[in-house]
Amino acid sequence: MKTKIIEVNNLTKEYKELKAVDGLSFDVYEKEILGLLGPNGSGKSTTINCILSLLKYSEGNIKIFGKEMRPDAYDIKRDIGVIFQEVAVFDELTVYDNIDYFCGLYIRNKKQRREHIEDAIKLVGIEDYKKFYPKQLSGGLLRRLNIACGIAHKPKLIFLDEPTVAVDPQSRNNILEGIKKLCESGATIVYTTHYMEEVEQICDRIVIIDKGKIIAEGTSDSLKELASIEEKISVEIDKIDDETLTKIKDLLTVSDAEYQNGVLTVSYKSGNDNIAEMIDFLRSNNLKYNKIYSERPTLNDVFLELTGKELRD
Amino acid sequence: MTVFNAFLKVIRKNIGTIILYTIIVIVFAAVNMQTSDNSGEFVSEKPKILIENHDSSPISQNLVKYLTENTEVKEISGGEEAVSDALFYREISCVVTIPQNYGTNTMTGKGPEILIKATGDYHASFVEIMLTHYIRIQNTYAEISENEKDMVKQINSALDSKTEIEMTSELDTVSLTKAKSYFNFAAYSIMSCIIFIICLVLSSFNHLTVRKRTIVSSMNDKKYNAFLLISSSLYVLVVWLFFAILGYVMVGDIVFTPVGGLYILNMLIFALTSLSIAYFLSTVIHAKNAITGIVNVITLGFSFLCGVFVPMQYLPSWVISVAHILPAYWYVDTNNRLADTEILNIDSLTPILINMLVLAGFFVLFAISGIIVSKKKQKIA
Amino acid sequence: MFFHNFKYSLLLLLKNKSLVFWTLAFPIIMAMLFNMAFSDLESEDKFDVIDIAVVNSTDFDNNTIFKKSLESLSEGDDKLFNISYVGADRARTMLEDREITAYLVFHSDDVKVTVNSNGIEESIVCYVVEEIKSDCAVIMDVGTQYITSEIAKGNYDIDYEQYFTNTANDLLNHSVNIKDDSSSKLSYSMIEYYSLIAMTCLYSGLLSMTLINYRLANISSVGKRSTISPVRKGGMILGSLAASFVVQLFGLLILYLFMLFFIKVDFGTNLPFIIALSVMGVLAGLTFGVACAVLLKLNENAKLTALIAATMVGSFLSGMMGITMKNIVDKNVPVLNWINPVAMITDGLYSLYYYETPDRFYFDVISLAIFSAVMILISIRGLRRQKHDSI
Repeated sequence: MKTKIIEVNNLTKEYKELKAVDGLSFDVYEKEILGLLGPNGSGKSTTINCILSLLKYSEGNIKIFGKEMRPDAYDIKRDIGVIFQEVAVFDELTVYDNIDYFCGLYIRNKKQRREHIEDAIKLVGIEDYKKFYPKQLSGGLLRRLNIACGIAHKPKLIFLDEPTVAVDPQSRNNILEGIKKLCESGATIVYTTHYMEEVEQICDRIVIIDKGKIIAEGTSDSLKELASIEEKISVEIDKIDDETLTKIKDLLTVSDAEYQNGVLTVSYKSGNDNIAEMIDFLRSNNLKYNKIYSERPTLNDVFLELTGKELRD
Repeated sequence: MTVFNAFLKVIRKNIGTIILYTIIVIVFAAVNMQTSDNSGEFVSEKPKILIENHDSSPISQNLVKYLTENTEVKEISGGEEAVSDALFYREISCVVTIPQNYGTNTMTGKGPEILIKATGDYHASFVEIMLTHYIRIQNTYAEISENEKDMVKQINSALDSKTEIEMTSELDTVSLTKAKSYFNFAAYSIMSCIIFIICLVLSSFNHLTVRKRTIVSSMNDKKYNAFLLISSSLYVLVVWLFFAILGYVMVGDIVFTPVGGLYILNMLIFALTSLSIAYFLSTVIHAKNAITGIVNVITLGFSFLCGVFVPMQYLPSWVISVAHILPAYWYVDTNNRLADTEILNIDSLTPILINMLVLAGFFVLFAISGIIVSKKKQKIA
Repeated sequence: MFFHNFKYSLLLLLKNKSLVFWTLAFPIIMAMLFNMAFSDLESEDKFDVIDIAVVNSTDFDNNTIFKKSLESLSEGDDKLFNISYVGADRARTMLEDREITAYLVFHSDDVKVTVNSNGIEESIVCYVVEEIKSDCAVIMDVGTQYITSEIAKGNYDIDYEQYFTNTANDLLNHSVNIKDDSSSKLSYSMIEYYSLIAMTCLYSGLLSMTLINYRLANISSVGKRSTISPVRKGGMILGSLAASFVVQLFGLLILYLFMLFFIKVDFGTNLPFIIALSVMGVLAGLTFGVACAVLLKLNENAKLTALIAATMVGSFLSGMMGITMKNIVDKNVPVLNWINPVAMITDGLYSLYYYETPDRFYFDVISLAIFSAVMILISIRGLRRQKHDSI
């Protein structure tokens, strides 16, 4: 059994009428990347802010490194790094000064600090922009600076709250690579996002949240098993009649079939060789198709299955 | 409609500022409008003084009586410090101290010393003239009078002289002075309300339109600007109307006389000029948080240099010469002239109309400069 | 940690253009405007020569006493009048064109004064005319008494002319013992400069407020970063306050230098006290800014606007836009002075300038200290709450 880094127990946070977080309980283990996945407004940021003792919460308790988290728990705070959703840097300070300032709140030794800062700058890849002011940076670079400010002091536990919102693909990849590297170097990471691809790409374990409640928890693969389908095959086809469609639906492993906008989508409950079967079927029915491809179910399908709505807005 | 809504939003957000400027104008105008009756007859101005009489002889009492008749004697409670304060703030212009044994010493020709503490302004000098005069006569009679009672009688009969005074002007100077000080001071509040708000609105729209221009057609853009122009003008008219009504509240019926009409017309031109200044500024100022600073410097600068806060006759002449290049000067000058105008005829109206034309010229100048600057910017962009 | 925060707070303040404008440039601009607007205020208010006209006529030529009196009043360094002797029509146009304050027309023994409007100069002219008239009466009276008594004594050999001239001279040159004990320190514009200094002190609130906002998780995103760091809030805020203090003192230094060497404001011998008072003032401003930052439930911009507005209102009430205001408040609503730090600073500077005794100055200094202490206390109460209801 791995060490528990964070223990969240029955966390509940109520705003006036709204229950933003509703009896949330989960653990984060050492050196894992935990993904908190959920649509906008599902309570991810509120959860993080409660864990960090920034917000008052109505019920529940939170332990970090086995100790109760409180606003004045400075020994816990020393080993935490947070990258907030919004860019939290000073416009008046240069890239280097920003990192130095925030790092300086944790590390007093100047020499050590300088090394840490250089490491952080290298990690997020903003070596060429040290003397720039935040206003001169593009959105993606700004996000990278935001991350550097949060992790320069080499924390053992890192929270990343949607660090890739509105970021160009290049920066996004850079950021995700960086997170992986941080994890490899021994940090535990809590990562919130509403991009399921990112979660699948980097997270060891995923907690799916909706309306302040956990609706599913597990590894990417174990979650996908929750989906009632195993495989989706899409066929670009000019025309298909209802009779053929019914025939497809009646196939043994097929759970559903749909024809829309020139694309035939067939969902399978289970399957081996589904695509070969499909090709056989099409050939035997003399249907001409342009393209055929197979997809594994995504977390979106899982979310759809569990809540009846799409993960994305 | 978005334009109107955005306008209202900015106004609602800054309602505190607008209220603040309104209160400032009311308080300031009220402070500067001390009333005195005016019946077209000459009323001698009475300096305000404080008398400290340490003597109780008929002679000193008569001096007090004389001063009471010719000045406004104030009582100041709160001891020596309150008296010093009152002097500093010109609540009184002079403190006259009559020493002990003043009467006896006068009779024996010792010429006892009267102590005065004065502010050194016209009113204080007036008191000194009075005192000197009285004491000269008093001492003259002291030499020849037998007793104090006789002396007092003689002094009083000598002082009892009346002069015929004719006043040529039949102006309602009190109302006109009130009107002048209200309308002059309103300049500060009008400038602040208009330039500040319009600058904020226009600068936020400038940002918006940059984005919108790429999406909307040129036709829409024109419509947009027209909307913007209409709503700003509407706002200016509301501000103007408000301060005109406030003017009625503060100075009364004079607003409905022809001169009052000219005051209000002058204010309208000034309000519009403020609008065009605001438009010009919004094309020049880039940073939104610079607006407060720049607008403050402009409104305060105009107000100090053009006779809004400090009446023009107190300004150094070189400042007034410099002020000619500022629109507020012409507004204030018109107000001052209006207060002195006896009859409205071509002769008296010409300088006033010229002033108004100059003010309108500033309106055109700033509007055109604004258009040129924004055109240039478009080309660069 | 203190130094780290201090260093970066300093950097944050100095790189913030609008803060630098309000704390360093704006007071200088205001001082310049005051200098331009007020430099002539006092001298204009000082008594000056009054221009009048006398309408030439034989009646005037015959009125020797008036003629002589007017002549003596328009001679010398401390003359009262500038007299033009002109025709009636010319006098009228001169009056209409405001070249003169009044003109005198003599008719037989009497004199008529014509003025344009009410006013202090007009009043003085009228008074002086009456004065001369009563002088005439005195001379006649004294002369008649003397002659009567001489005749009663049986002395008929009297040089009337000589006697009246002597009496007139006696009267006009009679020594008058008035001692002018006026303070030389009555300058109106001093108050304006003082309230400007006071306003500048209070602007330090802008600095401390900006920095405190950076420390509050519910106001700024960098505030969240500060809050989750393992640094005590108190230490961080102390560093920020020290930086604000230094910046504002620097601003004041520049303002003082500008006033001393460019505007030549006379601070007298009290400069050390003035500096001590302004240091207290800066402290009051700083703590006021902190209290506003902590207690006002507004966004950053609204807070700053509120602070500027409060400072402006305070300055207005303590006489920056016209010193009458200060007197009105002092006399009618002294309560306002107990909560208005601008008034405390202005009043302290005023009492240093105007009064010899320092009682009132110390009272103001203590008021400022109490004000600052209250601000600190309520700020600490607000800051103690470390978690927020919402962010």
